[in-house]
Amino acid sequence: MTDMNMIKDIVKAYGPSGREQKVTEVIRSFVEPLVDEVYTDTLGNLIAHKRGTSGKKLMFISHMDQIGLIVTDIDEKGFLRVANIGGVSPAMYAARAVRFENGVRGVTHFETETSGFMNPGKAAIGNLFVDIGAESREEAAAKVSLGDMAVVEAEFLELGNRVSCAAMDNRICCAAVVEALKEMKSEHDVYAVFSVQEEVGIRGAGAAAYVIQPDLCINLDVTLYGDTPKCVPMAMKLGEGAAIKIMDASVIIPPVVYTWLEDVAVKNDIKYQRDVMRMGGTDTSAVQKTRGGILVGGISIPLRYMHSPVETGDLRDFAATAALLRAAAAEAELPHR
Amino acid sequence: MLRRLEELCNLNGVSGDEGRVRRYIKNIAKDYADEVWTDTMGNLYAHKRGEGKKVVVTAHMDEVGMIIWGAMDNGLLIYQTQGIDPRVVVSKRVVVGEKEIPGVIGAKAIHLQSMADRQKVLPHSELFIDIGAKDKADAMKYVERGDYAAFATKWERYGRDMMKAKALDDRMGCAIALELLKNTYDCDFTAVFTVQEELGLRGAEAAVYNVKPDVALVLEGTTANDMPGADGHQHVTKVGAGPAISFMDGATIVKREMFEALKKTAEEAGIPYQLKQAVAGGNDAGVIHKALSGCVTGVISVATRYIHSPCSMASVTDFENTYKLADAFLASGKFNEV
Amino acid sequence: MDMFQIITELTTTPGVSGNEDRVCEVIKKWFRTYTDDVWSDVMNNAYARFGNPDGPTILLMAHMDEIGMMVAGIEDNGMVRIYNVAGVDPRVLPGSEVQINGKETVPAVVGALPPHLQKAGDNTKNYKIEDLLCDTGLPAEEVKELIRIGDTVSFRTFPPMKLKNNTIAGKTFDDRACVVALMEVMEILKNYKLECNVVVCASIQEENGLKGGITGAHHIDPDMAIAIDVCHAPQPGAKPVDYTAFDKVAIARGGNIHPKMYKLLKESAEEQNISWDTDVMFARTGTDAWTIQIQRGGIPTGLISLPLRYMHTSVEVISLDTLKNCAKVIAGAVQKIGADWEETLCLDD
Repeated sequence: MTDMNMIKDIVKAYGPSGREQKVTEVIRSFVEPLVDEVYTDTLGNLIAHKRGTSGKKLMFISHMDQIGLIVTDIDEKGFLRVANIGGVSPAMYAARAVRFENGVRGVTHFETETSGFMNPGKAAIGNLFVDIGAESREEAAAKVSLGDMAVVEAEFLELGNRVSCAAMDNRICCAAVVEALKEMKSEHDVYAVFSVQEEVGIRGAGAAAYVIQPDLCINLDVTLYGDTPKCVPMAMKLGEGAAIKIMDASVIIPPVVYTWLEDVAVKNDIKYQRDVMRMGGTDTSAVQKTRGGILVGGISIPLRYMHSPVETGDLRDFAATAALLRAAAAEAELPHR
Repeated sequence: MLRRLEELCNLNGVSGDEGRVRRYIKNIAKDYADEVWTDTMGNLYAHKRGEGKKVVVTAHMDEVGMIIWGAMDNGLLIYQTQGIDPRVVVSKRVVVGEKEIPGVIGAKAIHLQSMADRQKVLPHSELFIDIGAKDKADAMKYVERGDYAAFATKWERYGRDMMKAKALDDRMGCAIALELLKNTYDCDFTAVFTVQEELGLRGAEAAVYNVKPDVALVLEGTTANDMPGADGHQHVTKVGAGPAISFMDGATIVKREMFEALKKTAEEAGIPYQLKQAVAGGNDAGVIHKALSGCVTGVISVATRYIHSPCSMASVTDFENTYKLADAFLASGKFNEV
Repeated sequence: MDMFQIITELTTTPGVSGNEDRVCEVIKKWFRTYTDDVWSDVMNNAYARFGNPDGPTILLMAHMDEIGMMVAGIEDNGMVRIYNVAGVDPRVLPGSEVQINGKETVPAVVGALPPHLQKAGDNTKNYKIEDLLCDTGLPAEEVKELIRIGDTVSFRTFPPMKLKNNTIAGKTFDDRACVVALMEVMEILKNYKLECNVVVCASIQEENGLKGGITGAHHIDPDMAIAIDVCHAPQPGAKPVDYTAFDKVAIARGGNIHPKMYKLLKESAEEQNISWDTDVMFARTGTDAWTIQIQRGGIPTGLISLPLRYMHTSVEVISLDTLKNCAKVIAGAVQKIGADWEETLCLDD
């Protein structure tokens, strides 16, 4: 049975890059009963550690931050000017409801002087502003300060086998890790890292890997798709299973790792597909080049409409990903080189 | 401190060629620090031993400038550069190499330009340094390939509270860090003067490994865009509005506790401050905060107009208040709470 | 040693970035002809150590990986869709012969929509990688049997050609010719009693984020390093600031280079009367040297470049004489490194 409430709580939690405290609390509440110790590091990465006996260290890493907007100015009429946190498309973030960490809500719109009322397509991020209903700078400043961050407000939709919401990238993977930890049996020390600041350029993962120094690290992140009308040709499809990473724009997975994951999937009868993604990087790359190099792999969940408020994934892929993680952790022999 | 700044700004230290600046700083720092040493990249460390957290203050020694690629047959020098808008170099004085040979960057006289010429921005590849050489062979008597060239601007006071110089970014940070060395703080304190910041935060990458700090405070010169035509939200920082505290830039999101601690320090000490209102650009904090196991890193900058040009401008009061804010932060022990 | 023979073996072994397993083994085999101390690390960087283990350590690095492509999908008709891995220029691909390194090595031609089916004006635009398909001529079922998503695609491994004046043409001289130069360094030094400890590294994934340089330099933690890579030689359309003469050893100078390492290499060239030139680079050299310099607490780094025509094509051209000279310059520098290395590298203050 899919634990829909757990998924929903994690996906809906507030946590733009650099301000992940709220989502950290939510994830911590789910993982605490499942592992031996939970702690955060200097950068804010949340690390759940389950002790083992083999002397080997297996690390999972799944970023928990989401894209958003940061307030850079408040004008005399109380409008907020914003900059992007991570890969925000101005058009997708125009005319949206947004929410701040303290619960203040607002709506976004764009300067209509050049692009007209109906065409956000031409707007750059500098043309966006947030209206929180304030009528003066003072009124706005009482609610929101410079440097505060907002995330887009989106409904969590259940659509048959699919679920849709903002921040499915990458909370669906965080939820898959939690799901996998539930009945995880492993001889190895398992470190589940929920990393910070991936969306702003993979800034949290390296520090976690530097300290843990795992023998193998499996990254959990979302991947692109090739199954919507007239989309960029790509092999990954929703509902076709856990996507075993072979390459993304930031990393090339050693064959010794991805073939091992495939063998684990086959042995445990878990549906999988191969993931070759040309655009977009992941925490995997930062982990791989830590110290003298770390063996890395990845399992991805295909996600439609990336970085939009309606990111859509498949619950069967979610279940397969959790199952594959659990099965990988249960393997006595880790890949090595 | 202002005299030091003048001397520092008048030194030439293009990225990769920071020796003069390093020697100057080392000479002063040795009187205040327990140990002063240079690493293989040229980063300079001034360490004051103490108990408690390892705290570093960093400022970069390098400035934007040029490297000589070679000479043309007619004796003009071909240069490479990075981070300088080609529109600001025409009609400027430079000095070239160890011996600081004077040169100028000229361009075709306006009388000889067609209307089309006047519209066009001259790229660096069509601009040359003239040292008065007769031909290529003559030029190569004075200059070696790979020598550096810097702007020849001199530091000056302007108006009532302003100053003009090249390299205010980041010799202001260097002068402040030097001044902080005179004080004693309740921590293990190192002032780090980094190299090659302008080439992509290169020196800091090695420096952070050598010190392994718990907390870092980066002192910078940052863009001030307080010009007519720029809306309030486009100013980034304003000259005269106090030290600029960063919450985020293109390379770092400052940990909230650090950002709040710096604000609180300013408020408690009655130092005027502003927030850096743009999230572009980056500085050494970008590599320091995420290096090794992570390091809490804050940034304070002096608002600087016409940054990366031969003539930048900043406020003397902002500069002095930036020192005061850094000093108050360190003296208050707030680095223990971040 | 027969350089041409080794270059032939190295460049006819596929080793696209991230998938260097096979070429790594070939390189280790050749390394073992010079020293017993040969190993590879978790990243597949290949190492050979020799010299005085108690002396200062110098790391010599050239990268073994090559640019290439990866299978990203198989169409219903059996045509293979590709993505580029590292710096492949899609403009050189149409009409190229490649090989898909699948269950078997399958040759293929890179095709695109024929000109008469393109829209007007399209023929003035370059192809993007997603417009291109690999055609194996095999029926779809057989393609799916032999080839899977994630298999690498490399330029077809034809042996190099000998051209006039001791020049050769082929693929992947960037940078395996320089790996061979490092073997030549070992050859030169094999009977010489060195004061320093030498680690030769053939690094992986230079073309994909300098990952071998990052991890290799961290792994070895040397006292100094010299990288060797290719640079541009004069070629049609290139400007003088972009190249070094074909017959000269290029010694880099700029922010990436420790001034004393430059001096060391320069003196080595001059003492041996080897034709050389300064390769001025203000900042990024685009080589492993760029990252070696900032590993750990900083590593004094020098860079030697071998001038090459038509970089990242399947017909790269180099001079074997210049290649040999590169090796001599490095070997000469290594011979100079002794117990006084710290003074040698001390900055002037």
